[in-house]
Order: sequence, then structure tokens, then C-alpha cells
Amino acid sequence: MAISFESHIRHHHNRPSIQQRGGKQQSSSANPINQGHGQDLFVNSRDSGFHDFNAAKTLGQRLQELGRQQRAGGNSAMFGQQVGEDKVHVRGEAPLPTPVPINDPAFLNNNNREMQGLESVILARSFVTNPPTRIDKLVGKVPNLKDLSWCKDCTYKGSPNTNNMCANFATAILTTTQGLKMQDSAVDYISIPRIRPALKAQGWHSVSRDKAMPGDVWLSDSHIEIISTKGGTHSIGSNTDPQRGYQYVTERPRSGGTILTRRTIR
Amino acid sequence: MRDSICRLLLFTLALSLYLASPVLADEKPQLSSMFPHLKVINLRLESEWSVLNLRGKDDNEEPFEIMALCQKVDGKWVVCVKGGGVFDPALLSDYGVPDSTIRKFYPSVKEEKLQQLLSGRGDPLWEFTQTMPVGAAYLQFLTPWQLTMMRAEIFARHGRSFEDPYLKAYFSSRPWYKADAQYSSESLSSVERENAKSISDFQTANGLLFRAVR
Repeated sequence: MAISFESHIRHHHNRPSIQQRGGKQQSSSANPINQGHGQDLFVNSRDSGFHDFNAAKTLGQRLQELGRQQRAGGNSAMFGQQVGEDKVHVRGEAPLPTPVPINDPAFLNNNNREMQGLESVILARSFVTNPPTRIDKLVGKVPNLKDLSWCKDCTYKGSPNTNNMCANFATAILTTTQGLKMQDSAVDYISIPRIRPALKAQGWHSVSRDKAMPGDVWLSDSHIEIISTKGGTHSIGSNTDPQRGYQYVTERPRSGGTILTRRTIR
Repeated sequence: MRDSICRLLLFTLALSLYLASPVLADEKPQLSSMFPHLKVINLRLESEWSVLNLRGKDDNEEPFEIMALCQKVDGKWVVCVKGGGVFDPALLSDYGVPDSTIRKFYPSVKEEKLQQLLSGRGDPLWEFTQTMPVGAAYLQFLTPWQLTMMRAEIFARHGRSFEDPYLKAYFSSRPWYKADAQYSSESLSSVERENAKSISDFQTANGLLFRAVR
């Protein structure tokens, strides 16, 4: 199972970004996940380029099922037979898979969370375009992205949609893919002081950079992004373009700050 | 030509109004001095409250913008909360800004929307301290005001009354707060006790005390 995730991540990362390949934004579909990128992207939608991920998810569900059976005293020999240490290797036979710690709830939990983390990156990256898209143009396209145009007094420029959407964007991604919950209907996590306690309350905890995985969160006093690579080298977020003074969705190298995860680190 | 003259007149008028406003002229340097590495790009002032938009550059020379809410307490400005993103009316309300002042800060927000935001608030700011331990990794981002109020909130959730007039006024205005004459520190869970101690230790070690919780 772990191998499956690794290969998924490798596959994902080895692909050049849309900017590197000089990709061109094509027409968008009705599905918000499809907005803002072309057919040649790694993941275009859950229906077209997402088969590996769905397969992994199915496998994860199957593992959970097996774990439940085992805890309930069911067919505990199933995995022992499949990956038993006493099985004799035959020359030319594929190596045995690493035994899965199926009795460990943290493993099953993490499996699910790693996949949800990947889903966060896939969704966020689908809005990274060349040229970059201004964040306010994505209201109505990014699922759960709040339209803050009602709050013209919230920032000095008269529209928070254009230059203060980092927390709004990260919240939208995390709400859609990793089950981040709103405190109540009237409180949106559109600022760092709001999202930080919400993440803490929902079990997110700090992790060292070398243990960072896609879907973790990069956080500072002023900014928040979604970690997009293993080891936390890059992140995707709504970033200010100093020349234009507005925020655009971009994927960039990332250092400093704090990295939060909801995975159990062992 | 006419446009240029109009713009010049408007600029002169705005400058005159600014200079003629002793409140803003007096307060702005004080408020700006609290953020020595940031540039104040917008400042709004209503009675003892101020909302600021600030701009700076991070370690990688990347520009960023944050907002800050400040309050004048005992004649001195303190930073209640600061951070990136949008400070909406509900956030200000949670940090103790009266509804009447919020209305002045957000004049263009429709009353219906304002009502919806302000009626939805009401939970403690750091409710997770009931069950989850907090350490330096979390506390390092908080202002002295937040650290003090976070610690006081742990006791306030159990109904503790406060002698300190500021704390008394703040918690009395919280919809969830109910003073309990029977309050005893025994009602705190072990996690809450540990958190209160961690916050206090962190404040002492880093000199981040806003006021004593009494």
C-alpha cells in the first residue's frame, strides 16, 4: 500500500509543471475541478486522469475492511498467508510486498490522510495556470472558495477578493479534500488568526520539513499554503504578485514557516 | 488640465483634513511604531480601536500583507491580533470590539449581512485548550494579548470571575461567559491545568505578558 502512494507521488512530481512545459490554459468545463488547465495536465479530473488515485482509495478501503475483520477476530490469517515470512523465494519471482501493519489504526488513518493530502494538491494544482490566474477570478470555480466582495471595507483596496485570499484559498482546498470543518456557519476561516486555531482544534500538528508530505499545510504569521511535494520543498497558494499588487494562484519553492499535518508521525 | 486641478484640490483637501485631525495625527506614529518592520498602508480608527493594513517582506524578500487589530488600553496601544487574510466583522467581534464600533469599521457592509455575521459568533476563541495540549510551536505566533486572554479563557469557561477590570469587561461581553460564584480550580481538567501553566511559562520566559490574570 505504501509503495502505491510513493509511486503515485513520484509520478506526480516527475511530471513537469505547466509553466515548465509552457502549457496553455484551455477551455474549462463545468466541473470546478477542471477549471484552469488543459487536457495534458497530469490530473485533469476525477473521471479522466485520476484512475490511479481511485484505485489506491479502493485499496485503502479494502485495507480498512480487513483491519476491521481482524480486530473483530475474523480472518487474521489472510495477510499472514499472503505476505508470510516463511514463503520461499523462487528465482525470478517478484519480491514479496512489505507486510502492512494492518492492526495499527494509525497506519490506516494515515493511509486515508495521505490520499486526502494528495487530493488537496491535485485540486490546488488544477488552478495553477500559465499565466497565473488572479484569485478573484476563481470565485465560483474553486469549491468552497468564499466570495468576499461583500466586505469592501475589509482591506484598503476595497476588495479582499484581489489581495487577501490566501487563507480563503487554503481553507477551500482543505474543506473540500481533507474534511476541515467550519466552527459555525457565520465564521469563515479567511484569516490566519481564524484558521490557525481551527487546524489545531481539528488535530493538525507541527511536523519537521523532512517529514512533510503533499497536502500538509505551510503556515506563517502572514500566509498559508498547501505543501505540494514530499519534504515540503514547494507549496501552492494564493500569492501576491509584487508588480501587480494582486494575488494569483501559484506553486513556488517554499522555506521557513511552520508545517502542519494531520497525519500521525511515528 | 481640469482633471489635474481637481485632483490637486482633492489631495490638498484630504491632506488638510488629515493634518486637522489631531486624533489620527497623534495616534498614527504610536500605532506605526508597534510594527517597526512593516509599512502601514491603511489605518482606521474608531474610539479606542484601530484596524491596520500592513505590508512587509519575508525572509525570501517576498511581499506580504497582514492586518492587525489594536486597542488602546490604559492609555497605551496594544496589538490584540495580527495576521494574514481578511479580518471580517465576526473576527473583530470575537476579539471584543463592540458592535457599534464594528459598524463604523465596515460602513459598506449591509446591515443584514452584519447581523448574520454577528449573530453567528459566540464560541470561545480557543476552545480546543479543553482537550488538546498547547506548546511553544503554537504559542509563538500569538500576541501578548492573545496569550493572556487564552489563559484567562481557560478559567472563564468554568465560570471564574475576574477582579481585573479589563478582563471582567471582556468576558462579561462574551455570549458564552457565565460567572459562577461556586467556581473552583478543581473543575479544570488536567489538560486545561497543564495548558494554563504552559501559557504562563511561555509568557514569563519570553516577556509576553499583557496583564496578570486576576
